[in-house]
Amino acid sequence: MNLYFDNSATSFPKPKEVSEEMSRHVQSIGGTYGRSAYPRAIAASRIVEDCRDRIAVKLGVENSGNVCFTSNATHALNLLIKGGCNPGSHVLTSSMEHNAVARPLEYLRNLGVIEWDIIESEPDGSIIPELIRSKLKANTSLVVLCHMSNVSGVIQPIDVIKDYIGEVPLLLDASQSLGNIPVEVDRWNVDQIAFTGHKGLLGPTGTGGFFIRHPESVNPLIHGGTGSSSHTLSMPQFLPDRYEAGTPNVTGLFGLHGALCNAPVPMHTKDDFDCLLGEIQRMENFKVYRASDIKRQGELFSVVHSRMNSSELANRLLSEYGIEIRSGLHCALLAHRHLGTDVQGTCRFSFSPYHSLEDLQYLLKVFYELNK
Amino acid sequence: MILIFQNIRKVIKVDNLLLDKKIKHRILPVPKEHSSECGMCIEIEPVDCELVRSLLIEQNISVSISEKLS
Ligand SMILES: Cc1ncc(COP(=O)(O)O)c(C=O)c1O
Repeated sequence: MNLYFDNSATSFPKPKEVSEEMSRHVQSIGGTYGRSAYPRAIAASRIVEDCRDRIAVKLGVENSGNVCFTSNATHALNLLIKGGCNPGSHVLTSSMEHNAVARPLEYLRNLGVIEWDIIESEPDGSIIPELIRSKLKANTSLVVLCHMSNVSGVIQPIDVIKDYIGEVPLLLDASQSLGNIPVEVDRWNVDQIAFTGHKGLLGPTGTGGFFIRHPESVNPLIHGGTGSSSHTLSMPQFLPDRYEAGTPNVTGLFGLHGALCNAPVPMHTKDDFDCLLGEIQRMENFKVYRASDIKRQGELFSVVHSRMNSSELANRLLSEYGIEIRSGLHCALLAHRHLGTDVQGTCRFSFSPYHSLEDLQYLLKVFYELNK
Repeated sequence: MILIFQNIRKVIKVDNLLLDKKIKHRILPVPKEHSSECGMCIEIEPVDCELVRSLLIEQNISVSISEKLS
């Protein structure tokens, strides 16, 4: 049985090819990326570039050359926010942000570089698109949005929101969405998107990145060797080199490539998940934090129990039923503030394609017992 | 003939393209005479030069092409 329900923190299990590919790089291929011309380096670089092309397909972008790798989504978001916000500018964000967005914004605000505001949203965290325009200012230079909340699973309707934002660049945090739900960066005309490799994409930790449509507007965060333009002390202007100083996580990218080439067929359906959620919602001792519209619900949700606090509930789930989940604030203070759970936190359940219907049925049985 | 590109990504792209089109080539270290770079370049037969040039234009990949020294 698969009793690991913390896939929003990091996914487990992974396709077996993830570890096979990583050990293939460590044990036999070896080789760096983009810095030499012997067969090992060529073989390694070939996998990194194929991984980039496959990420572009997942993101729904044609220009795969503008996909850049970082060590995770946090690194990508810091790069895009700190490199793109000019002094005196204003940033709009949502009430459901992770600290990977909120903390860089607050850091820049404390330095006096930017101001930032939150777009109003429904009680479940869904942005109210009609209210975006009233929040836009003449100096609004960026809108940053969490595509799918890591607390409630609510999915924002990006194509609709984009219409209301107009020309202001939109940066999406796809940490929870990519690999789990469709992402269509080109079709939605999203300007920048950050992703992580170890959650829905089922790759290893230490992998992630972003796509940027107009790199001229964002400075690099890290400066150093790229294996290109080494005759100058300035960073190259061309991509991905402009944002990829330092030897990348080649071993990790082998693993991510293994995951992208071997995505599993889900062992349960979205309907199975929706039914589970519906049943839990009817239990009187659980308050469920989820999207009010099931069509906008990703496969994760939070609960609070009427008598147990979140850490007690998490401890009982583990010690009595072997269920692994995450309790607390999930690195998302803004989201918990919005949901009114910032004092006690919640227990979050997050799913993966490796959960079978039986796993979901077992979880439901446990919920019934704890509801007594 | 030697094809020199901006970065490794372009080398791999063109390597794949030439493999696909069955055009004989090999990846080499960039000769010292061409660049201070430590990276890779692609060597092709002189007879394929015009064909490769037009393929690269089609793919919008910028390249510098030179005679092989040494
Ligand atoms: C919505 C959201 N954004 C950003 C992140 C940061 O991802 P990473 O830890 O891989 O940088 C997470 C991960 O918890 C997340 O859930």
